[in-house]
Amino acid sequence: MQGEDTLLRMHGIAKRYGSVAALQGVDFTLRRGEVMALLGENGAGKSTLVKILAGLERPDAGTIEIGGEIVTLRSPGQSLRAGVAYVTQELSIISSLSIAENICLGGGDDHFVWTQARLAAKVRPFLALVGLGDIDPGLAAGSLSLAQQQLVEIARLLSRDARILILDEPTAALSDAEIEKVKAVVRKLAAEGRSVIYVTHRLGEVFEIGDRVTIFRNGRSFDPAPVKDLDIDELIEHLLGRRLDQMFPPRGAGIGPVAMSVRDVIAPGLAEPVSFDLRRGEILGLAGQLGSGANAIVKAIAGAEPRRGGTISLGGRPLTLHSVRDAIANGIAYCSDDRKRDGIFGVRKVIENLTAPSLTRISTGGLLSGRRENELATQLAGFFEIAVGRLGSQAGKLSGGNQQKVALGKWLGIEPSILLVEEPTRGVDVGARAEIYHHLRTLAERGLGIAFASSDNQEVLGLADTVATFFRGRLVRMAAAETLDPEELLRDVTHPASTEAGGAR
Amino acid sequence: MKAMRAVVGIFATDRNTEGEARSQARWRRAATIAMLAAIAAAIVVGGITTPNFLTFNNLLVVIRNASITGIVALGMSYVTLSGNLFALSAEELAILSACVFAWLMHAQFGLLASLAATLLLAAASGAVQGGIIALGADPIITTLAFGALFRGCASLVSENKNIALGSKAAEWLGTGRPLGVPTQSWAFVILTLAAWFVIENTRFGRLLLLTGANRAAATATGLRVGEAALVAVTLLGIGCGLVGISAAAQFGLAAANLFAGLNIDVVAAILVGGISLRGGQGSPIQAALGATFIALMQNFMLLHDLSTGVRMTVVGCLVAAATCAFHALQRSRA
Amino acid sequence: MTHRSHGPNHAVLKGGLAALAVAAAFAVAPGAQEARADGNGLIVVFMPPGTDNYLAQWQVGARDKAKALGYDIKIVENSRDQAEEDSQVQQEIASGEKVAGYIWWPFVNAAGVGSLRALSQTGVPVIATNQFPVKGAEKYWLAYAGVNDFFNAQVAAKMLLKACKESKTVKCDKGLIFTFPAGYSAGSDRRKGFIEAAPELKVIDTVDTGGFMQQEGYKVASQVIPAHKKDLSWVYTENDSLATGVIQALKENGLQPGKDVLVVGGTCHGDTTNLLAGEMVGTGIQAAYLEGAQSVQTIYKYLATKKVEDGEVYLPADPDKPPPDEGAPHKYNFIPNPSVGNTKEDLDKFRLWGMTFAQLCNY
Repeated sequence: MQGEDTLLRMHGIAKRYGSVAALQGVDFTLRRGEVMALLGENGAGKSTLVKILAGLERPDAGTIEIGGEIVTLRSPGQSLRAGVAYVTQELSIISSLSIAENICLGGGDDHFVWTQARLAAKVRPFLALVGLGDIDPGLAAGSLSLAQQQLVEIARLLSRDARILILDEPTAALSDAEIEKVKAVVRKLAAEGRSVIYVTHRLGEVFEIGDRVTIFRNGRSFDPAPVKDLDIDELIEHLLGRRLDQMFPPRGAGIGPVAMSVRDVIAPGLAEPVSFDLRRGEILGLAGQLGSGANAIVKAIAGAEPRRGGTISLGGRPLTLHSVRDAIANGIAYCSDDRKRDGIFGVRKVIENLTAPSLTRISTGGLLSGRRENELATQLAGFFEIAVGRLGSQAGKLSGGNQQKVALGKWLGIEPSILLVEEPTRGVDVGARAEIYHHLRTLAERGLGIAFASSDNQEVLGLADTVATFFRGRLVRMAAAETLDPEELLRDVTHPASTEAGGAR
Repeated sequence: MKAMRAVVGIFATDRNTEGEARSQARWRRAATIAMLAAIAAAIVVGGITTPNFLTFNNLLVVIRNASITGIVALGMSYVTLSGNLFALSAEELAILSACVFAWLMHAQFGLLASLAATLLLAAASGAVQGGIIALGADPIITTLAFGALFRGCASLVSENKNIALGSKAAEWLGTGRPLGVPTQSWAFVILTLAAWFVIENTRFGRLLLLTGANRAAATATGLRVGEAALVAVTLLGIGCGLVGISAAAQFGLAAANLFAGLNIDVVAAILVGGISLRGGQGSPIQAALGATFIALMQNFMLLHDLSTGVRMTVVGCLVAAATCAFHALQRSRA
Repeated sequence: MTHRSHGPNHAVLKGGLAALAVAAAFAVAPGAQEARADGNGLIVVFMPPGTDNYLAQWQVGARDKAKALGYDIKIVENSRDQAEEDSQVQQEIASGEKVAGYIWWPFVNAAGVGSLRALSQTGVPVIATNQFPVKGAEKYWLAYAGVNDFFNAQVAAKMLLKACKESKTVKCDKGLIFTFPAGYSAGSDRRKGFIEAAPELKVIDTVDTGGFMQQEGYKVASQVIPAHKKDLSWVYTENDSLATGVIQALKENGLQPGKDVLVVGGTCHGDTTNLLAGEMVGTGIQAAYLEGAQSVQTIYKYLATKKVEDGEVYLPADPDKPPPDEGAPHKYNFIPNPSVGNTKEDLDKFRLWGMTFAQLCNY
C-alpha cells in the first residue's frame, strides 16, 4: 500500500478490557523517517496501541509487521530487540549514576570491566545524536535538567539501535526552551531515517513537527492524514467529533461585587507581588506555563504554600492563612493539579471521597449518620453528574474525568465562596472536559468566585471571563477573555517581552 | 492456559478504568469471607481428625487464647489502618503495664487506683509515641526505641523478680467467668465490636481511614491528619495496658519476661487477617479473625502434639502465604 | 494539630530518640561497663539477658562471690540470640583484654560450641554454667559449675512419688509433662531425668509449652487438659512458673491440685501462693544465686590449684555454711538441689549455706 518505505504495519489490532473494547480492529502504519503524531482524547485507544507496540500489553487479535516480518511483542525486551523504543513520561534515569552509565545500563555489554573513559567513548555518538554532544558523559545524570534527562533517555534507547521511537507526551513537563530542544532532536532523528511516533495533547505540536497524524476516537483509528492537508479546526473536529465552540458554555452575565481581593501577595514561585480581584460569579483564568507563577499564586491563596507578604481579603475582611485548614474554614476550596497525590482517596469509596471535607456536616457528636452522608453525596454527585451507582466504587477505579468530578465535587459540601483549581481538566477526556466546564460555569452563576490556573490556552480563553497571564513569576496583564485573541495570549505566556510588562489593574 | 487467561481476564476487568471496576471494598469483604471460610474449614477438618477439638469448651479455650493477641491486634489494626505500619513496642508496653500494675497493687494502692494509674500510663505511653509519629517520625524506628525504653523500665520496676500482687482484689479480672466465659474472652469480643463500630460509624474512624488511604489528600481536605496517628497509638497503648493488667491479675504475679513474642503474634494476626499495610483499607474485624485463626491452628497442632518448632513454622508459613497473596493481589490490581 | 514545617521537629525528634535509646540501653544492661583491672583479675561472663528473673539472680550471686574473692566481673548479655553471643565472643577475644577466666552460658547450647572452642583457644580457663555442655565438647571447657538438670528433675520426681504414696485422694497413674521450648537443652535433660526417676508413672503426653512463664503454661495447659482430665492424676512441669499456669488451668477444668491431681515443678521462685495452698506437692531449691556464686568460685579454685579433679561432685548441702573456697574443682561441680515441703513450717525452717528460703528463691 505504502510501498517499500513502510517500516511498521499493525493490522486489525483489537484489545478488550473486560466488557470494554479499548481497540477495535485498528490499522496503523509508519514509514521510514517520518514523524507520526498520535492524537486522541483519553481512553480513545492511542495509549493502548502504543503499549502493545512497546510489549507492555498483548493484543487480543491482529498482526504486527516490522520491516516486512511478522513479529511477536510480548515483553518490553522483545520490543526493544525488534527496534521499538518507548520513552514514557516517567523517566527511568537513575540520578546518582553518570550519564554514560545510565545510557549503558542494562545494555548487555560484553566487556566485564567498565571504565568511565571507555563508557564515555561509547556513548558520545549517541549523545551527539540527541544534541547533547557538548555534555561530559561522566556527569551525574541528576545534575541535568528534566529535558536533558529526557534526551539522555532517548540516547539510551538509540544506543540499543532503536528504529522506531515512541515518545509519550514528551513535552508535558518541560519549559518552552526545553520543548524546542526536544523537538529539534525529533526532527533530526527523523531526518536520519528513524521513525518517530509522537503522542501528544498539544495540537500545536502536531503542525510543528508531524509529517502525518493518526487520530483515535472510541477505540478506532482514522486513516493517517498528511499534516499539511489539515487545519486546526478540522483536527479538533476529528478529535472530538464536535466543534470547539460546543466545548465551552456561554459566559455568564451576572458578575457581582468583589468577593476576594489579593493585594501585593508574594510567595514561593512569584518574582514580584501580585494583586487582583475576584468577583462573585466570575471565572478568572490564570494562564501560564509551568513555573510561570499562575499555580504559585493559587497555592498561596489556598494556604498550601506559605505567603511571604501581602494580604488576601474576603468580602473586605483580611484573612490569616497558615494552612489549607485555615483556607477551608474561610470557605476557600482548592483542588491541586495532582489529583492522584492529594485530590482523591483512591482506595476509598466515591461516597467517602465526596463527604471527606464535610465530616462535621454528616455527623452528630462524633457519630456519622449514614442517611445524611448518603443525602449529601447524592446531592453532590447529582450536581457533577456522577452516576449514583458509582458512589460505592473505589474512587481510584474511575476514569480520569470522573475522578476529577469527585475531586471538585467534594468541595461543594462545605459550600465555599471561592473555588481555586489548578489545571481543571488535566488527564480528563474531552467529553468529561465539556461537562466540567459546564458545571464550573453553573457554580459561578450561583455566585461562587472561581479562579483556575491552566497551561492550556484554549481552556483559558474558552472558559474564563477574565484572563490573567503569567510569565516567569510575574503577572503580565489582566484582560477580559473576549478582548484577548489567542496569539496575544500565547505571546504573553511564552515570551511577553514584546508586550508591556506588569499590567495589574 | 485457559484457566490462566480466565484469571488474567478477571484482573484485566478490574484494571480497566472505564468498565465500572468492582470496588476494593468488595475485595475486602472477600478477604473477610475467605478468612471466615478458612476458620470454618479448620473447624470442620479439626473436628473430624481431632478428638476433643469440636467441643464448646475447646472453642471457648481457643477464643480465650486468641484474646491476648487479639486485643492488642485490634489496637494495632488502628495503627496499620492509619498508614503507620506497626508499633513494635506493644509487647514491651504490655510487660510494663503488667509490672506497674503488680507493683502498685503490691504497694497497696488499691484496685481502682492501680487500674486507673496503669491504664493512664499505658494511654500516655501510647500518646507520646503517637504524637512523635504524628510529627512525621518513622513509626517502626520510633516504637523500637520506645520498646527498649519500656522493657528497661519494666526491668527496673520489677527488679527482675516476680512481683506478687499480694491481694485477691484483682483476681476476678484475670480468672472470672461471667456466664461461664472468661473475662478476657468477653473483653476480646466486646472490644472487637467496639473497634469495628468506631471505624465504621464515627468521624474519628473515617478520619483514620482517609488519612491512612492518602495522607496528602487528607491534609489537602483539611482533616487533622496528626490526630489519626496520635489516637491510634494511644488506643493501642490502652489495649496493651488491658492485656498487661489481665495477665498480672490472672496469676497474681508479674515479671519483666512475660508476653514473649507478642509483637510477632500481633503482626502475624494483622497480616493473616489481610489488612492492607499501605493503610486506609481493612477492618479491625480482620485483625480479630486473624488472631482467632492463628489460635485455632495452634490449638489444632497442640492437640496433635506438635512441638513448638512445628507450631512456629506453620504460623510462619501462614504469614508468608498471606503476605504473598496480598502482594500478588496488589500488583495485579495496581 | 496545626500544620508546621517539619525541619526543626525532626532534629528535636532525633535527639530525643537517641537519648531514649541510650536511657533504655542503660536500663537493660546496668552492669555492662564496670570493668576495672585490679585485684585478682577480670572474669568475663557470656549469658542471655538479666531481664529474666533467674538470670538476674544468677548475676547477683556471681557479683557477690567475685567481690568476696577479689575479682572484677564483666557480664556480656545477649538478647536471646546465639549469633549475637557468638559475635560478642569474637569481639571480646579481639579486644585483647587480660582476662582471668571466662564463664560460658550459651543461649543455644549446641550452636554455641564454636564460640566455646574459640574461648578455650585463648588459654584462659573456661567454666561452663547452667547449660550442661554437649557431648564431645569436653576439651573446650575446663569445668562445669551449676545445676544438674537430670538431678533436679530426679529430686522433683522423688518428691512427687512421695506425695503419691502419702495422698489419700489420688492414686498416681497417668499424667502429663509440660516442657520448656524444644531445643532448650535443660528442658530435655529434665524430661529424661524425671522419666528415669519415676518409671512407675505413666506419661500420657509430653507437651511443649514453647516458653518458661505462667502465661505460656496456662495457654497450653488450658487447651490440652480438657482432653485428659478424666485420666489425669499427676503433672510435672519443668519449673514452678509453668506450674502456676498449669494449676490455674486445672482449676478451671474442675480439678483441684493437691486433691485430684498432684503437681510438681521443682524449681522455687518468689511467689509461694500455690505452694502454701498445697497446690504443689513441694518445690526444689534450684538457686540461681548459688549457681552464679559457684561458677565464680570454680574459677578461683582452679587458679589457686591449677588442677581439675576428674568426675563429678555435688557440693554439700550444708544448712549453715557455704562450701569452702579451698581445694581443686572437679570436672563437674553441681550445686545442691534439696527439696522443700509445702507447709509454712517447711519453708521457715529451711536453710542452705546459711541462706533462707526467701533469700534463695528471691526471684
